[in-house]
Amino acid sequence: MAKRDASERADGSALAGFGRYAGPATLILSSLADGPKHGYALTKDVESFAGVRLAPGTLYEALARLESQGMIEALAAEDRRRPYRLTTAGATALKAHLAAQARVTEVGLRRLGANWSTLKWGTA
Amino acid sequence: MSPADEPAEAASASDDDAADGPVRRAERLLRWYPRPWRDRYGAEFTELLVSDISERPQSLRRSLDVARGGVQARLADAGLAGFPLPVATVGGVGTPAEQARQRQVSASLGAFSAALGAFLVFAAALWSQVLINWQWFAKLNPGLPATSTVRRLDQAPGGDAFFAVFSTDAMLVLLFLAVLAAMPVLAALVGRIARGRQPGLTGPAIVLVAALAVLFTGGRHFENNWVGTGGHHALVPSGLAAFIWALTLFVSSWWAHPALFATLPGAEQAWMALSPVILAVAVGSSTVLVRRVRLSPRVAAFEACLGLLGCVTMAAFVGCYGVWITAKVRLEPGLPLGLTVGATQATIIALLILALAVAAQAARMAARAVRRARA
Repeated sequence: MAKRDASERADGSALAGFGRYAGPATLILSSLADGPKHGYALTKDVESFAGVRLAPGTLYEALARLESQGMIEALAAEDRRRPYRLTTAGATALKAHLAAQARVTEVGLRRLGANWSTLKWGTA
Repeated sequence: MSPADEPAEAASASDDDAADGPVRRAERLLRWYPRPWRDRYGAEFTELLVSDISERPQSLRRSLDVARGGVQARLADAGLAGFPLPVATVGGVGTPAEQARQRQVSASLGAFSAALGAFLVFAAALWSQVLINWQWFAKLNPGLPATSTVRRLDQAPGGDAFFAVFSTDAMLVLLFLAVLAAMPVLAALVGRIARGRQPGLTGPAIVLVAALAVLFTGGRHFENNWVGTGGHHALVPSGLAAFIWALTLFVSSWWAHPALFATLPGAEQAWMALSPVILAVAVGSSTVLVRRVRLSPRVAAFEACLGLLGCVTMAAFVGCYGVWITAKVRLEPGLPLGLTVGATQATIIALLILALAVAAQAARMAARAVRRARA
């Protein structure tokens, strides 16, 4: 169990190491978890499930980083559009990253719930 | 064609124009990115931009985002930021990801060599000019009272003597590190050119040799006008000091004094105009060679280590110069010609700091890429 946790932390930190592109990278990997997509389809899909429209420059910066880290791979171009798909390394990194996020979410919600009725927070 | 066809054709042409508009705008935006990036992502990125422009014709956020992404990609291409492009090169060894890491090491080392070259040129110019000023002032004023600026600075820590000795040491260490770093690169270069294994090396190598030959010849010729006589020759052989002075003659406040500049011999004026170009060619061609020659992982790690040491030495030189200039201004604000903190010296300080910042970033990126390549 401890070994598995360490492995997950390592994989999760690989994605967190993207700095300001960690957010876009998570959204892209989450979108590709549903199947290969090209740039425009990725933008629309992310917009539909996250309510965030990835700007073209940000999208391709994150795509290039993910590809250079072997987390996604490019497929043969269709016309002038090139689809990308998730690799095993990308799926592992995404799973670990989302699991870490889920733990944070769970703790945050649990603490909020425990203190909600007592209103321990300031009003500012 | 009947007149009835004309409106239809005009409408068709109008539709084409409307379709071309987003394409042209997308292609203009694409120019922010460097060529290798455009070769890899250009077509698909243009498609995405065309779709985006069609949906939102006016978007400042998109333009700024693309511009920022393009600058980021250019910095990555220069080995100063981000990640290398995941593309395989012709004749490359290993997977595309491994080749990308090797390319990043080469790009970062290339950026470091360019920054080091620029730093050495301006630091050498500063060092030789200050040494001349110091020596001449001492020689022309042998009877100065003990309270005079030069005598006082000679005796005071943080004064001329401190700067001259420390900056000379720093310059010699930098030169030693540069020679140490150049040797394995040179060996790899000669080996690859001799075996004809890697194209694209011979041209820049010929340009570099030619530039060095011109610099050597010009430097040897103009060092005869060396004005740094007397003073502290023990710090560095006067011949070497004169040669470096001649090579960096163009970094001079004479440019800012047209009347004084006009009194210089024509050949010296021509050398002051030509030498910076030749120096730039030498630094540029050596940068191209460092980027192109494929170094073994062990040599690359060695170079990255030397780069970090070089940054420490450069920082010591800049720090030393800062101490010296601060001491000068504090002790006597109105120093004689050449000893004041003028626009030339302020510009050199700014250039040295810029070169140091670029070198530090390049060395950091090279070390990181080496670590990744090993992992």
